[in-house]
This record gives sequence, structure tokens and C-alpha cells, in this order.
Amino acid sequence: MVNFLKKDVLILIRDRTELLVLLLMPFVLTAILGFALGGVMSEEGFSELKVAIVQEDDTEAGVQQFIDDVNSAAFPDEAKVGMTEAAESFQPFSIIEEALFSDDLEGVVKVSYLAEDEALEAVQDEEILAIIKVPEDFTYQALQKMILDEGEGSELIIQSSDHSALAVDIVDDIISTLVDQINLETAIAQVGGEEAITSTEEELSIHDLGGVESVTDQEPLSMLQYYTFGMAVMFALYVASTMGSKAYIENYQHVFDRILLSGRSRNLYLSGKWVSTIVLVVMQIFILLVASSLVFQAFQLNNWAYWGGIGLISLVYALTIGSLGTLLVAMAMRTKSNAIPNVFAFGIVSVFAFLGGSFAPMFQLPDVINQMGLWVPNGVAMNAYLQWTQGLGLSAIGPLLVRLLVMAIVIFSMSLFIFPKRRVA
Amino acid sequence: MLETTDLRKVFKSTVAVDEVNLYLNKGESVGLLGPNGAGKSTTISMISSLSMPTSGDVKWNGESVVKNPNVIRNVLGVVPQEIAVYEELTALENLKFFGKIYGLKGETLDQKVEDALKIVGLEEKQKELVKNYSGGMKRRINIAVALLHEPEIIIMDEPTVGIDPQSRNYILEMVRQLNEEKGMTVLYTSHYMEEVERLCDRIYIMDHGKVIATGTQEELTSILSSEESILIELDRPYPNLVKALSGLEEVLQVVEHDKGIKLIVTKGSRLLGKVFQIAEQEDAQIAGINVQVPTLEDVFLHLTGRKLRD
Repeated sequence: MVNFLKKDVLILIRDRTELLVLLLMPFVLTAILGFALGGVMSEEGFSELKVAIVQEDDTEAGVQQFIDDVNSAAFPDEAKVGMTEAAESFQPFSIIEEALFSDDLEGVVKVSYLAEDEALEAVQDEEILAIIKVPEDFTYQALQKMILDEGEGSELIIQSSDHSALAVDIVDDIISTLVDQINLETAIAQVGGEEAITSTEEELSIHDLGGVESVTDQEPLSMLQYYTFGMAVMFALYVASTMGSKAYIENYQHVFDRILLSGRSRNLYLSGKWVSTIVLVVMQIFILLVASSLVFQAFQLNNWAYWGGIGLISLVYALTIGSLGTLLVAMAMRTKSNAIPNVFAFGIVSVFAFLGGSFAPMFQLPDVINQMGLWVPNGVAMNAYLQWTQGLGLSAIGPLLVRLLVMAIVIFSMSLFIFPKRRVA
Repeated sequence: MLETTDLRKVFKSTVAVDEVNLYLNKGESVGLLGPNGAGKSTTISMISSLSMPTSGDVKWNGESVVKNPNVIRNVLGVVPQEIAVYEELTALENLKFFGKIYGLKGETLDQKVEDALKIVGLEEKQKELVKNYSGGMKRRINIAVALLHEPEIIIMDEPTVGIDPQSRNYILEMVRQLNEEKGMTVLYTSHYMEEVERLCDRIYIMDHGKVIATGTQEELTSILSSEESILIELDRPYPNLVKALSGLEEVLQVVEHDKGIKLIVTKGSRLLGKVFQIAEQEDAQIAGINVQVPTLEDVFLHLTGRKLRD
């Protein structure tokens, strides 16, 4: 296997045109697109998530209604006083509002209050990304559930358009984290009583909300970072087509026959192509990311935990591209033609790159395109790179990596099936 | 040692190889002669286990290669017509790669690589990329790869196509040494008659997928023992001369070639006088005339009615 790998690497290194396409082109395109479109993801653009709050709930009325219910119920007087104080001091949406307006989210989230009609119009016009709707009786129902453990509780409604799925995901994550935190504190309060509620109120701040912290600890995603990943995942696809074309030449020049005459199996040859593609893709991505870090300062090189995740994503993506490479090898061998690797290189790669967000930022693409992007390997890898870079952690990228691995297994199985079997009669 | 029985290969409706029976004994050098498209390469492909016959069998020491290709693969070296090496690698890198896939390693690999380079005379150029080699050097590295694992039998499919006379001579001498000095069994295909005449103990002549004659060179040329050929060199083509000569009773065949006309005539027929007379009538300028004993080329012409390199 090492023998095949060494040979494939040497052949590729000595093919200057191919080397330029696979290594220099993504770097140049990263520079061009990253600098040309840099403004799109600037502080004012991508990093500031504009959301509107549609407040249909009357907080004071809700609190008063809850207190009236408590007073009219058959609780001991001492309990009534405690519950009344808790209701007056612990109002669920106020906590979320405070978090959204906190210093920690300043410059990340910009909140405005709108009527529902205005908010819907603003979403349509792409003036805001999402609406956080506080439904009628939110406070009353939330207090009922939180203090008396009665009723179904209440839900915030987050509405968005399709034009920026990634940004909406981030808003959704922030709110979900806040709601989860409130639910957790409530559960503690119900077990620990008034003291626990009081301590929760004092301690609850944005710094306690792990999910939010992980977003705000990172620099906003720059266009150079975005296109470094975009070009990395796109140009990795060309490694697959290159392997297909090289295999066609090996077959055409009867070198493949020579390999078979040595008694080596066809599957060993195919596995050799798989391993070579994987190694070449990992090398290609590594070179691009390091070059982008050194030349453009797109990434900090000393964050080992971050690079560990990037390495993992790259490896899993390389496994998938390795399988794609073997599929193209198998097809080239089956058809005894270079047509399929060529069609892939000159047509399909562009389609995949578009769907995967390599050409235009994902947050500018319709959701349907982003959804389709999750069915092409480069799109999945792109999402994983972006989410990891934005600090969303292993739990967020885990399903994406599993998806890539499933793709790798399915595609490799297909290539084993398509690869010509023993001699044709 | 190696034997084919009723070997047949059909591609869709085209019969490429038709009931070919041939054998090679240990240490023999056997030629497979035929024009382009005669079925030589397809026959080789089936013998070397790369292509499955439509029917028939190939046996190596009594074991079927068709059923179990591995019986021949480790003892067989194949020199394909194409330059089947990686042109972006050096000769040394190519030999090491192919040596390793044959399971050679360490000092053994280094020694075999060195031996192969020495046999083909490329020691000095071993670190140059193959793509920078001349045509003759490419042919030699193509042969070296097939010799790496010291095969018992080597099949060479037109190994001298498209190279200069010096390289061609080098390769022919190398093949002779492999056969005579190292005892390697050789199956050599070519459409160059003189190569087969020089190298081979026995010859199979193929045309249109069939073996049309077989034997030693003497046996084959004895087919034409009652004939001789007259080569007439002309300054330019004379179609009427050809027509007139064809009409002579003693002339069995008339073939035009680039320098003139070749007549195959009954041995002992005193024809030269008539030839000069007709040439004068047709106003043809004869530059030279040569009477020859039959060659394999003449045998092929006799058997197929066309020249080997048509």
C-alpha cells in the first residue's frame, strides 16, 4: 500500500499543471474571494445578528394573574408570600431580554421591538434575520409551570426566512441555551425552595450560559476563513477526479495490466487508490490552511484544540473523497474512458461547490440550497468546518462527521461493485 | 511447458483469434509472425492470463491458466507493445515500484534492480525521468521491468516498434542472450521478418486470427523450394509493366514495393531475358535486378497473397 502511495504522490508532484491546480489555485482563489467579498462578513454584516422581539405578552398582568391565583388558592400564608415574591422577582422573558442586551452579546445580536406585521415584513425584506415571538399569557403560563408545576408551560416562537439559515441557527442556539438554563434553574429552585431561587437570580448571567460563551469567545468568521474552507473542500474534489484520470492513463498504457500480472488483486489496486487519495487530500487541506494562516493570518496556529478538530474533520472528509476517487477510478476502468473523470472535474465539481457553499457564503443562499448542500460531501465538510470554527463543539459537528462516514462507506461499496472484475471473456 | 489448445477469442461479431494451437518447450525461442491485426496481441493477452478466451485453454506445465491465472503469473514476464511504465518516474523508481509489487524487498530488490538495469544497459540513466528517454531507451526500460523477477518465460510483443536501428540491434542481442545464455523461454511477436529469422528456433505465422503455418525457418522456406524470387528495381512505378509481367506463364506472383517489383517465379525458369524485353517495350528504366532464394517474407506472401507490413 505504501508502495502505491509513494508512486501516486511522486507522479502528482512531478505533474506541475496538476500541482498548480490542486495547490496554488485554491490559495489564489481564497485570496481573491476572501478580500473581494470581505465586507459581506464584516462586523456590521455577518457578526451582528438582527432580531426582532414581538411582545404579545403583558408581563405585569401575567404576574398579577398568577398572584391572584395563588392568593385564592388554599396554600398556607407563608407559602403564598414566598410564591408571590418569587413571581415578582423571577420573570422568565426578562432574563432572556437581559441576556440579549448584555455586554457579552453587544455587537453580536441587535435587538429591536416590533409589532408582528412589521416584524414579518422586516424578515421578508431581509432587514432582520429572525423574530422572537413572546406569545400571549407567556409569563402567566411559565410561572404556573415553574412555581406550581401546573399546566404545559409556555413556548417562545422563533420565526425566520430562508435566506440565512446559518445565522438563524446561531440565534436559535442562543435562545435555546438561555431557555435550557432557565429550565435548569427552575428545576433546582423547585427542589431547593426559595433560597435556591434567590441564589439563581443573583448568579444568572450571560457568563453562566455555556452555549453563548462558546460563540462569543470566537472572533466573528472572516471571509478569508470562509473561503479557505470553501476552496479546501472544493479543490479536494479535484484530487478525486485526478485519481480517476491517472487510473485511466494507467489502464490505457497497460501499466495496470502489469500490476495485475504481478498477481496483485484488483481490490488491492483500488484500495491503494483510496489511501493515496486520502493522503493527498489531507496534505492539500493542510497546506492550504497553513498557507492561509501564515500569509493571511486567517487562523491562529497555536490553538491546538481547535486544530485537533480541524484535523478530525479533514481526515473524515478525506475518507469520503478517497471513496469518491475510487468510484471515479472504477468508472474510468469500467468504461475504459476518461470521460467520467472529466465530466466530474469540469461540471460536477462546480455544481457540488455551489451547493456546498464554496462560491457564495451559505448565509446568503436560500435554505433549499443549504439543505441540498448537506447531501454533497463538500457541503457537509464545509458546515462542519464553519460550525467548529464558530465554537459549536463536537456535539454539533458529530452528526456531520457521521454523515460523511456513511457517504464514504456507501461510495466505496459502489466503487467495489463497479470496478471491473476478473478478466472479461 | 506452455501450450494453447483451440484458443479462440470473439469480440462481438469479430473473430480475433480462431482455434490457435501452439506450444513452447523450455528454453525455446519461438516467433509469432503476422501483420497488424493478425491476432498476435490478443493471443498473447490470453496466454498471459489478462484476457479470458471465448473458448479453448492455455496450460502451463499441464495446469489451466484460464482456470487459475496465478499458475503462470509469477513465472511470466510480459513486454507489452506499449511503453507500460510510469513516464513521470525515473527508471530506478519504476523498477523499485514494480519490484515491490512482485514481493521483492531490501537487498534482494536492490540487486534485482541493478541486474535488470545492467541487462538493458541503463545503469547510467537510471535516475532520469522516463519521459526524457529516447524511444529506444523507453523500450529497454519496458523490457527491464519484465525481467525484474527473473521469469522462466518472457513474452515480447513487438518490442522494437518505432526505434532506431542501433537500439533495435541492442534489444535483439539482449533477447538472444536471455534465451541462449540464461535459458529463458521466449515468445517473440513481430512483423519484422528479419527479427524472427535472427532470434527464433520455431515460428508460427498468423493471419486473420489463425495460425497458417508453423515450423523452423528451414521448414517454412522449404514450402517455396520449387520457387525463387526476382527483385526488379525501377526508377518509378510502371503499372503496365506489372500487368505485362503478370501475364507470363512462369510468373506465379507479382508484388509491387517501394523500390520496384518482386516476382515469384518457378525455380529455374530462364525469365530474365523476357523481363528485359518487356521492360524495353514498356519504356521502363530498370535500375537493378536480383535473384533470391525464398525468405520468410516470400513464404508469408505465398500463403496470404500480401506483404507482412501491408
